Amino acid sequence: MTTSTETPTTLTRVQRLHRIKAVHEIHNLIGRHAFFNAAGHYDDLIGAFARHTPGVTVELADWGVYKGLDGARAALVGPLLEMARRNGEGMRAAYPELDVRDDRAGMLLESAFTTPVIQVAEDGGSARGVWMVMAAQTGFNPDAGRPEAGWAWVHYAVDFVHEEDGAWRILRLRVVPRFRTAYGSSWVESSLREQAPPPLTTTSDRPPTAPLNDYSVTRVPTYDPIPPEPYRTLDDLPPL
Amino acid sequence: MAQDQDDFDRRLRRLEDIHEINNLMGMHEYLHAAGRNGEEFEKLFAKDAPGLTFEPEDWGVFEGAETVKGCYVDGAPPEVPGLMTEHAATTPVIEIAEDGLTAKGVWISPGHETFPMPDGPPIAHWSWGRYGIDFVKEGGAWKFWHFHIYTTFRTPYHQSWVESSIDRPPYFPEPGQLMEGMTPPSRPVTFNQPYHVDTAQQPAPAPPVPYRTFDETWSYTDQPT
Amino acid sequence: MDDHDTVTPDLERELQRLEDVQAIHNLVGRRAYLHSAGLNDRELLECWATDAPGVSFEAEDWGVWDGWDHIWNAYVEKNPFPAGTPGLLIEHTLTTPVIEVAGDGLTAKGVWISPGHETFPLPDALPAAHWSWGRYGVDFLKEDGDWRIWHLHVYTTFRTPYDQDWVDSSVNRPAHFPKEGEVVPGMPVVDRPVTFNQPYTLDAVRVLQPPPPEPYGTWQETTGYTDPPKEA
Repeated sequence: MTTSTETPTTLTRVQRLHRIKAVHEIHNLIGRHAFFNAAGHYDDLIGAFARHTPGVTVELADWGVYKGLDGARAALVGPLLEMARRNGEGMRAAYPELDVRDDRAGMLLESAFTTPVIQVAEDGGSARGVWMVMAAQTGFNPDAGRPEAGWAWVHYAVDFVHEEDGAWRILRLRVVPRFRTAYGSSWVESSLREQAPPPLTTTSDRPPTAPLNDYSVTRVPTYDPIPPEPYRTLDDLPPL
Repeated sequence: MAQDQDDFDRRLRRLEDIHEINNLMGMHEYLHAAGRNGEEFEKLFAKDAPGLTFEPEDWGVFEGAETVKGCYVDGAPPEVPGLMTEHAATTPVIEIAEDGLTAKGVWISPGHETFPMPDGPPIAHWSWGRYGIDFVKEGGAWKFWHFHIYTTFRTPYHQSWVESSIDRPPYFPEPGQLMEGMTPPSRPVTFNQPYHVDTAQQPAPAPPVPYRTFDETWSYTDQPT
Repeated sequence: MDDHDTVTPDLERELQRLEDVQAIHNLVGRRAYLHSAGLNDRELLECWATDAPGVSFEAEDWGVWDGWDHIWNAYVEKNPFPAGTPGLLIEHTLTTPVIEVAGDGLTAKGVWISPGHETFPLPDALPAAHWSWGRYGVDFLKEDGDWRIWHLHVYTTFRTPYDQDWVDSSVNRPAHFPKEGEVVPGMPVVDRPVTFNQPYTLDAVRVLQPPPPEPYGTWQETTGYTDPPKEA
């Protein structure tokens, strides 16, 4: 019986080396994504998306699918800018003595990428990976009158393409939340007083491909995202 | 030249093996988080290899395919609303035997677990552990051979592991108490050390060091020396 | 096998670099398990460069110890939490790696994000449990054919008691915390001040520290993670 972890035996040395190198470069790409996200390097975040391959999408489970590089910017950078704007506004009002000039003062978005499963296509032109992301997050909460610390766990599912300039870049990104909760209450307690996700500044191009499945006392866990199995070429991949 | 090529191929194979083992470990975590222990057992465990063992936390060692299945699949909690468990794989140290037939790895696993309760809402926990695992190649693919899960702490969200170690939550099963449907273990726990205020932590599991063949090393479900 | 598949020097170099990356994953992993076990002596002997000039260790808000002997004196001889301390539990994970090996294969650089937890025994009280997240910025070099830690910088993200979030503990510093920058009694003073550390505070704006490494050819093209950062 074949399993998910076999390397095809028909590949040449050069192809096999290319695949192992791809795994390393994909780790670096995702690692940089986390560091840029935490540091508010918005252009670098978008710079990791495919430049020469059509079909860039970002799907946020709460909001839907965003298309193209503009969509990626709207989905990923838009909420960060909006969070920073509200944070700065709140911080300046709550702590006039701090002389807050940067909207991101007191914000923290630390995402630790763990548990990778990465499959590089047999043809070496694309790859799919999934990660479990543990995050420590903080932003100003107007109801509390101070920044609020919280925990979040999300899954990332990502399709990568090896572009003509030799770089691996993100083609499709899907973020699937498991829970998000303020430090002082568990995800069970938070789910019991469920709140609508904050509105995005830009609406999505398509609705989400799967219903929101973060923690709820009424839901059973689902197998989503599905870690990738070996595959031949980008066209053979099932939806992310 | 041919020797250079053989050497190159062996080194390349080793890197592929490490990548495949990282993927195998990840696969385990996603399947387990979705409660698909049966599918996981079929796909990822070395069912046909002699000496398959599984040692989860404080339950003891389960030996052989039927017994491991009787623990990991038959003893798994039912998929009910409000249940959620998730364990991450981080901090890998992996060594492939020089003969390419076996491998050893350790991981640190941050995690969380939410258990439905008979009366009242489910209870959320932080649950951290470690893995010490021997792998074997079966049918050309890497599989779990000796799988040991070590408890670091399991504690309700509103109570630290220090408090839980001296004031055990009343709904926790007794250490070693079997779950419904679970096959009894084949032999007792070889090693487990959940946090306790009075205990000095022993370094375990030992990260693997390079080795040639499995005869030279020990199993993660052997009694540690 | 066709002609395109012979082992060329280029292919050999590529394979070597990928083996180097894997060796570095294992090296920092081993260090994490030794550190968690309080076996700082073994960490220094087995994971660090012992002969190379310029070995340095920068620990959070303490500053930099330069030279293997100084690190040994501070980190091993005066380890405040040696192996065998009841109630002690320290664990820092390695996630989110970005690793680059120099083109010349002699040095390497890596960064990690490290979720973790720490439980410290206290006098006249139960041990105190904390969530403790940080980051690592590490330079490596090859010594006698093995990759070793050359410069290790541990950055604080937050360290907060279990029942107090990091926003609150940044404002109301827990009574059992030492003063910022204060080393453990008896620990040798640092050789150099902190080059960069940014624990959570209300007015801190997160910057790109440690910067994830970019591809580089030789060490001369880059800077060490315990050098003062250029931008921050």
